[in-house]
Amino acid sequence: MLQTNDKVRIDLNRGEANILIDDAELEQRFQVLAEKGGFPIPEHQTPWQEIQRDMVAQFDEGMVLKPAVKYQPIAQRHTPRDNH
Amino acid sequence: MTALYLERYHNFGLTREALQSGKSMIGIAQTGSDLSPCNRHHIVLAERVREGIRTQGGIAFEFPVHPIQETGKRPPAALDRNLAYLGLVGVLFGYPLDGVVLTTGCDKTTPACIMAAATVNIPAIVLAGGPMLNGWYKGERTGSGTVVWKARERLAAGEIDYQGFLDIVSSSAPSIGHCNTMGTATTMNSLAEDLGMSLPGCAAIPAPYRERVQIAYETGKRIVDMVWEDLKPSDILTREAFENAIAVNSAIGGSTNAPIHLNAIARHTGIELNEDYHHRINDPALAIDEYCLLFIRGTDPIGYPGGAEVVNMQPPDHLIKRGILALPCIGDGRQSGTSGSPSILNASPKLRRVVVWLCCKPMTRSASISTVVRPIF
Repeated sequence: MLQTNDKVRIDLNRGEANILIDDAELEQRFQVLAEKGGFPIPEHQTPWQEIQRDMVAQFDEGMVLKPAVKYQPIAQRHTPRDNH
Repeated sequence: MTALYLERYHNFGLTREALQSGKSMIGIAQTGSDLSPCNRHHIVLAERVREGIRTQGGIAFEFPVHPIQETGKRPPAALDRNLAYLGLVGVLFGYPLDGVVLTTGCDKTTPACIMAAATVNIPAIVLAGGPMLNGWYKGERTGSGTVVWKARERLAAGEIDYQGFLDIVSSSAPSIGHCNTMGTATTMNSLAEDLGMSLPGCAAIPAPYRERVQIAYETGKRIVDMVWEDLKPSDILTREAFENAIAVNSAIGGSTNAPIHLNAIARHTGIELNEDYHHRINDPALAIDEYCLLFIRGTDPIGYPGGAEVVNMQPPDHLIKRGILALPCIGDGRQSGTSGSPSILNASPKLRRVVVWLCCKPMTRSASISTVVRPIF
C-alpha cells in the first residue's frame, strides 16, 4: 500500500502512524490490491504456521490465540480434579 | 480412575504410599534442552527444585515444554510462544498436578509459561535461569545481541574479517544463561518477578552463581506452600500487579516486546491492558526531576553481571529540553557499550536485595513504551 514518496505522520504521543494520502487514492490502491488477490501471505511451511496465522490476534492485543482467551480459569471451571 | 492414575507412575519407582499420601504433586515445566541452550541450565536447577519440593513434602514431576530458542529457530520464535503455551495448557490441565514450577529464560519462554498458568490457574511459580556472565573481546565487553550489530558494522567497514566477526559474536556467550543485556529475556524475567510470579530477587542472579541454584531450592519449597495456601495466578496477576510491571518496564528500559507479552498474559488472566492504560501510567504528573538517581537491584562488582540494565532510560522531555540528557544510574557494570548515561559502578553487593527501582518519583513520560495501535492500512 505504501509507495515511494508517500508521507507518513507518526504521532508518538497518540500512538498513531497515518499515511497522508487522500481517501480516493487510498480506495484505488485497495482496489488494485484486491485485484491482485489481497495482501501477500507467505506460504505456510508447517501446520502450526497456518493455525497461528489464522488465529493470532493483533500486535496491541498481545498476539494471543484469539479462541484461547475465553478459556480461563479452566482448573476451577471444569470437573474438579481429584489428583489423589 | 485412581488405579489408572496410579499404576504407570509406579514403573519408575514411585510408591502407592507416596502417591496416595495426600502430598502435593508438583510439576516442573522444563524448558531447557540442547535445542534451547539459554534455558539448558534448568536441567541442573531442576534437581535442586526437586529437593526443595521434597523438603517441603511434595512430589516432583518434571516434564518437557516445547523449546523456544530465539537464536536457533527459523522461522523466528515469534511463532512458538503460542505453541508452547498451548502445549503447557494441555499438560497443566490434563495431568494430576497440584502446582507447577515454570522454568523460564529465553525471551518467550517466560510469557508462554505464565500465560498457560493463567489459563489453567493452578498454583504456579517462576524460576528464571539467570543471565550469562559478561562476554569480553580484547578488553571490551560484548553484550548479548548488541555485539552482533556492532561487529557487523565493523565487518562492513572492513575493520575485521569474517572470522574476526564470528570471534567477537561468539565471545558474547561465555557461560550458561540467557542474554545478559536488557533484551526480552532479562526484561520478561524481571517483569515476572515484579508481577509477583517468582521469589524476590530471582530474575537478576547470573546463571552460574550459587545463588541461582539456591533460589531454585527455595522456589521448590515455596510452590508446595503455595499449593496448601491455594495461591493461584488469579490471586497474583491483578490489575495492580500489571500496573507495577508496566512501571518497572519503563524504569528498566525494558524490551519493546514487553508490552506485547504483558498484554498477552493479562488477556489470559481476563484483564484488558489497553494503550490508554499504558499512557495513564506514564502521566506527566509522575515525571522525575534532575535530582533523581536510578537504582536497581543486583548491582555487582565491575566485571560481573547483576541486574537489570537501566542505563538506556531516557530522562523526561522537560529535562532534555534543559540540556539534561541523562540521569545518573546505579548500574551493574555490564552496560556493554550501549549506555549514554553516567553510571555508578561497583556499588555495594548488599544492594542485591534492595527492591527499589527508582528512589524518587517512579516514572518518566519519555520512558514509556507505546505501540502503534491504529494500523496504517
